Amino acid sequence: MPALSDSGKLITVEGGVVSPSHFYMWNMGRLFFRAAIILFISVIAGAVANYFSPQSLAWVFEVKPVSEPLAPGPMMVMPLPDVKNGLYPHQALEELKKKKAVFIDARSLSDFDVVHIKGAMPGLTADGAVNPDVLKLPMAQRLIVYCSSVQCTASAKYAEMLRQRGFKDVQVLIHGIDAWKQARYPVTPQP
Amino acid sequence: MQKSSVSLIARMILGVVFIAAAVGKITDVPAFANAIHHYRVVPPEIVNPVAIVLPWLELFCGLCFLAGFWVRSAAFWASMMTVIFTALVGAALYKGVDITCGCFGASESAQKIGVEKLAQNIGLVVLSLWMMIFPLSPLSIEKKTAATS
Repeated sequence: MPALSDSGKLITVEGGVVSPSHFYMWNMGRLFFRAAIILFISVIAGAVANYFSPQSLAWVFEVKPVSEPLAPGPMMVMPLPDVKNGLYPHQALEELKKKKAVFIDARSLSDFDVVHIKGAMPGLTADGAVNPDVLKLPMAQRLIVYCSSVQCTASAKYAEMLRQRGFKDVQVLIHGIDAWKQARYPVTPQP
Repeated sequence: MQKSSVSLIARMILGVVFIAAAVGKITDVPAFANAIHHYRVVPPEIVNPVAIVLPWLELFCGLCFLAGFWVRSAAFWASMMTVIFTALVGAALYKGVDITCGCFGASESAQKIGVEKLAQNIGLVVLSLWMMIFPLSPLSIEKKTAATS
């Protein structure tokens, strides 16, 4: 390995002298080889962390219809965002444009009245009960449920309730209407 | 001040900044993916892979800087990342897009991009390039070689 002597000359372990061009190529090769190792380790670490994370992301995002059998019993409480059956705002926007999905607002009716995603249905009535119009939708209809922000869990709970009631394709809008508005996607009333 | 002393300070600053930036993103990868998407530059197909890998690349680069190990290779990635981040922030400012930076994860929700953020990024670019050119500094794990790649 070439090294700097105290006098500043390039010497090898064997005591030979390295030509500047050879040393330059050798040094560049080592730089990029080590940079590639750092990248490789990062990819492995990211993949492992993502695999075990409760908020794991799909490497290539695809809309996953819910296909697991419905479990009988009480409604599940999901403290974490339902990311595995979630859509990012840009993906939900595509659904909105294609008119494939129905958006359901899991916030209170008063919040819905202030602002909601264009075309969305209120998920709750004024007294906080589930909107009966939502339950009349076809079971195979794709539904995208949202609440306010990254902190809220109402959408995940609402989505789980819908699955328990037999809806086959329920997604959650990741990070809610806040992210939607931040991306300047259509809302009603318009800002 | 000697070059090696400047390199030591630059190394420590880069190490701390990159590790802090990485931890904020690793703890909330979906939020980081959203932040990337909001820049409207990265194709949606590669938003998730970038969000998954980039924080770890930052973390390992930060650790290399702090430890003084493979400093030039870490500085290579740091330069690449900071140049791209600076270009993204500059482009967003130019287009007038009102978004949060995403630089330190979702927790810094109040940190909007602006001239101050652009100046910070340019400073990191300068420090990274400095470490590419002058990687040698005291308190390094790696032995003094012709170039601490």
